[in-house]
Amino acid sequence: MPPAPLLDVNNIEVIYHPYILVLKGISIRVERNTITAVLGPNGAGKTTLLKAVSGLVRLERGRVTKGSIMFDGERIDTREPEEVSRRGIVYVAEGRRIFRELTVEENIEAVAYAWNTDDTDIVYKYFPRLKAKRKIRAGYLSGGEQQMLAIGLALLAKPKLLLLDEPSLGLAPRAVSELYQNITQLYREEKLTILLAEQNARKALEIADYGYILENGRIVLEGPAEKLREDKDVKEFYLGGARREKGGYRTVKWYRRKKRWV
Amino acid sequence: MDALSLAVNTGFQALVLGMIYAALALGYNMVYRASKAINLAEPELVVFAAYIAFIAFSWYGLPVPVSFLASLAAGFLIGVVLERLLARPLRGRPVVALMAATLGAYYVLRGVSMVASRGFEMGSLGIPEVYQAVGPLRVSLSDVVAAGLSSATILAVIMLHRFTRLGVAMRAVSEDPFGATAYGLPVRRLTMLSWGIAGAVSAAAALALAVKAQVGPTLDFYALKALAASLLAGLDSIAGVVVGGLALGFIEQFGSLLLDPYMPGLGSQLAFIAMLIVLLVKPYGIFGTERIERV
Repeated sequence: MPPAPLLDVNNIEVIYHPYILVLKGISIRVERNTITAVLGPNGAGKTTLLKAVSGLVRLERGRVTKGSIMFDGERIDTREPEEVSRRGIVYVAEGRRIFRELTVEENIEAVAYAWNTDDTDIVYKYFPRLKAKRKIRAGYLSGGEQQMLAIGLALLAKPKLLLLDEPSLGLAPRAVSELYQNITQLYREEKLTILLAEQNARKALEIADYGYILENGRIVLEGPAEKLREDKDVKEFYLGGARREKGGYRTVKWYRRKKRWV
Repeated sequence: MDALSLAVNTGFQALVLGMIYAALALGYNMVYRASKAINLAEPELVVFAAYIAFIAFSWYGLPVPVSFLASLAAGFLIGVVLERLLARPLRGRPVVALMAATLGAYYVLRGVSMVASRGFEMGSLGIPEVYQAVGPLRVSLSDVVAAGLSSATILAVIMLHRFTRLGVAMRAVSEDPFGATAYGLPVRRLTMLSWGIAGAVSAAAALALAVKAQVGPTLDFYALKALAASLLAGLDSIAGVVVGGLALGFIEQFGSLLLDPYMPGLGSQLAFIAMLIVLLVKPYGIFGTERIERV
């Protein structure tokens, strides 16, 4: 029998407010020491899935109404977000959510307080660019640097599971490449386990081991990353690789193929 | 008294009163930053804390420093209880709900302090009446104690926020509680601590006030005026609180000096007039944080 995965999301439903169903029966598994990607268009439910895992849906008046989330052998979907993060799940939100009014150094101090650690150099080790800017208020950093800081802060927690929500969002292509190099490097050296939500499927599948494709709150496709990279549908809808003749019969088929997923 | 010594003495009194106002305003400021609401219970918390010190000193015969400490502890405790009973259950609700709840707490505290003081109206905190003349200036011991207590309080809070990890973490939580939770900060504990410190700060300000004026049920009016100072400066800036408090002290003292012969009592209302004008021109206050927006 294979060992239990680090994270086992079992057929969950998430409802926001009293009645907006966002996730409709989702199951994913994240094995230790892997990068698992969750791909899909805007509004598919990627962010909600990550917030459900970290318990943060509760702060936005959402809740997990069906199924269960197991982490390291323990059930966590019934716990408060503060307890979940105590167990080593750290969520790096989309939109570079750092403390903008604080300096880079103060951002690090604040999170270091939470984890009672003095090893603050780990942030500068992976993101040396931040060192020169440590007295600058984080709101004035460039987009790429803000994302570096956001991920760097998570490292202070020595996370068992790192949830990255659209790290490439709103960054220039060069910044995205640099950031992905950083992520790969610290994944290898810190032996992290990462659950990555992305719209940028090409980038995500480059570094991921396994992938799920989410549409409208359901998983429509899953598989090892190299399989997904070769998959005809994924290529067409997410990687923009497959050529398509304009109009006519192909469009109809394209529509039907799209329907099959939903 | 000649004009020079009148001006110097009024200026000094304005300074002392201004520091007290600043400390009172800091109480609102800390609660606002923790929970984005104005703590309307603070005026009565001030009265309550002053009574605690008074009761400890004159009824139980405790030494002055001990009675002061008892008052600070009571202020801290009330702050913590208000957070636990009001702010935490109302988290995520409109802030108006929390403000209404603190208004309720105001009346509860008022009732308690009326019962506890057995209708006792006025009293002093046992600081001897000693004067010292410095040139044209007349300085009393109570001036020194009041100014020292309030500035030490403000300084302590600034040091906490600037130079300790705990204080920096509190600032992080006040900026973005959601993000702070995601990074594992103990948001609930830190919010509670902010309310507690705000309570202790209010108590310290209450002691300064009681030393300068007298212990009595009307101390709450000073705290209400300090709310004006706090709004004047912008609720989320500590430097602004000091400037706002001092400005209020000067406006009031010199306003009374100049206007009271014509319209008695107008001076003490100037705070609210100044607040109205400032809020019309700059709704976030003079020093209110402008969110950083990168364009």
